[in-house]
Amino acid sequence: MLGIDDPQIWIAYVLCFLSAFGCILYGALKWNAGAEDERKEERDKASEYRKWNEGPEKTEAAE
Amino acid sequence: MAVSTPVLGIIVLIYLMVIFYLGWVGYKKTRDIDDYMIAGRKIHSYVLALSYGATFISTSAIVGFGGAAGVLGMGLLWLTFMNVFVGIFIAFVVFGSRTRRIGFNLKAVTFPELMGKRFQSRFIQGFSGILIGLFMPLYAGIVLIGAARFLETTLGINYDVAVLIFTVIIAAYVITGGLIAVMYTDALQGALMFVGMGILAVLTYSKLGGITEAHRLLTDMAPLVPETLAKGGHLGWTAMPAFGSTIWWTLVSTLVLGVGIGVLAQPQLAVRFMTVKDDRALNRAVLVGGPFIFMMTGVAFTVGALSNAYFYKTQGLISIAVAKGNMDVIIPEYINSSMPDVFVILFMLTLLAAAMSTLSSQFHTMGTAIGHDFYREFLMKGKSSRTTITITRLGIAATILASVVLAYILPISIIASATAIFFGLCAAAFLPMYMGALFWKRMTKEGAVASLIVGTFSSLFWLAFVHAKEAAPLGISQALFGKATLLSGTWTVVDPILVATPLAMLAAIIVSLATNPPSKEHLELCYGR
Repeated sequence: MLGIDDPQIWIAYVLCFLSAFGCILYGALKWNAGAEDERKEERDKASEYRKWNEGPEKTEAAE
Repeated sequence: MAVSTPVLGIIVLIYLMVIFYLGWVGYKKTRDIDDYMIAGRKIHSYVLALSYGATFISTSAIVGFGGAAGVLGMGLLWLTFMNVFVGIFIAFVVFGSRTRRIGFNLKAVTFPELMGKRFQSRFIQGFSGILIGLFMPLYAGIVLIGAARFLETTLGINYDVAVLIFTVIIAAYVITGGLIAVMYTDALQGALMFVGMGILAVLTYSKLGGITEAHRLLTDMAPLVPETLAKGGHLGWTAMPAFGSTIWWTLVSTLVLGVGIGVLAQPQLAVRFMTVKDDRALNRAVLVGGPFIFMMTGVAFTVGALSNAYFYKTQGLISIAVAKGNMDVIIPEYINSSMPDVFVILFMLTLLAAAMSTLSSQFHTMGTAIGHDFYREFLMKGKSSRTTITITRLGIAATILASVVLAYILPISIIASATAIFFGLCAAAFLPMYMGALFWKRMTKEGAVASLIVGTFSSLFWLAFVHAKEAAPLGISQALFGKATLLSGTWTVVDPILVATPLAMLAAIIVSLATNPPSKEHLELCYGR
């Protein structure tokens, strides 16, 4: 196939194209995924930030 | 080459001016530690993808590994598949999303800090930092050598002067502009690399009469494989080496698996997942990153192998004969003799861009590892009068100096394997701990420490005492035990990654299960509720 006799090589050759195409497809299908809940999540995290700012000193001092 | 040096000089100068402009933009945008260390967690998805790709792919991937394909053949395409599937898809979708989230939750700004905070251990952060600071200069040293050799041959500058000029240029924008400058310049360099490699693929195939015809020419050349390679298991440039042969082990264990899996635990790449604000940016980056890596290594390896067909057609010789036995010369030799002058210039800029983008990230990662992780957080226990940015800048300066010294003193024979050594060491030392940190809540601090120590030292032990390629030139085993390697036969060609990584993983699991699990509060802090 494609001028290559060893299937171990042409399979790799084809897989390279397929994996790159798969990445394009994945990115296109998930173009807007993972954004919406993020803003809410960041607000939640902001409060945890404050907790952490006080927390780590205690945790690490205990080491 | 027919292109005059002044013309090339002017083009390189314009390119450098644009780079400086982007460095200046980075400097202006850097206001706090988050900006300097992780680009303020608000990098655009295209910039992330191109920066990740351009950092991943250095001159050694294009010229070094492309040259290796000129000798070993198209079996290296398995590495391209691994680069795209593991290095991009698995890395962004499986590792990236969690790294970003946990990094954000724990307010981590470097890879060692992410590990240190997840496992509540300054030792892990400090040890990882010093490991990066000690061994990454090896990797940076080779990239620097490659870039300086390029300046030496194309612009006719003395090699020592070239190393200095090059270092000063990169140091200037990394030290002042931090990760924003690094990633912006990376993106520009990545775009240049994409165009350069794309044209190279089209021109090569069209010169050889199309895709199938070109491959057919190469397939028919199988009887021309030199006897020494044929003895090692080489069956032709469009065939895998004989199963279990020396060349097969080198190709599969060191190149395909070592570099293919090792990339997941590269600190300078992992830190990039923390530079974006949401998973959407990671998803979008997959769309750009996949085709980018495909165009880099896929084209380099295919063209490297096909150069044999070109040289045989034009000179009646195979590539390694044209390159007089030095595989690093195959790609430059092929470009110079087969491509039009305009493309030679473009390809030289492509190589310059590839070297600069990898070096800038290495300098930034080494600097943060030594300055922030090792000195500030481990030695000073987080209490230092200077700010993190100042200490990191000093760290960057110190590690750049180490890389330059290495660029002057490293012998050629050691350089060739330095990339693989660094990738393998990272995989063994960091991968089990990194995977546990992201996906296994039961993994404990003790388990992580055990895996870090076992991975690091078993990998170094295998390199110094068993893996013939490094053990023989290092000579430690010879001096201590009177023989070049402690084991013999196939073991001496099995890459450290295949031995050290499973051992480290085992250590992580056994020790974690034998120790008390992390507190529920801490896990909630890491992973969210």
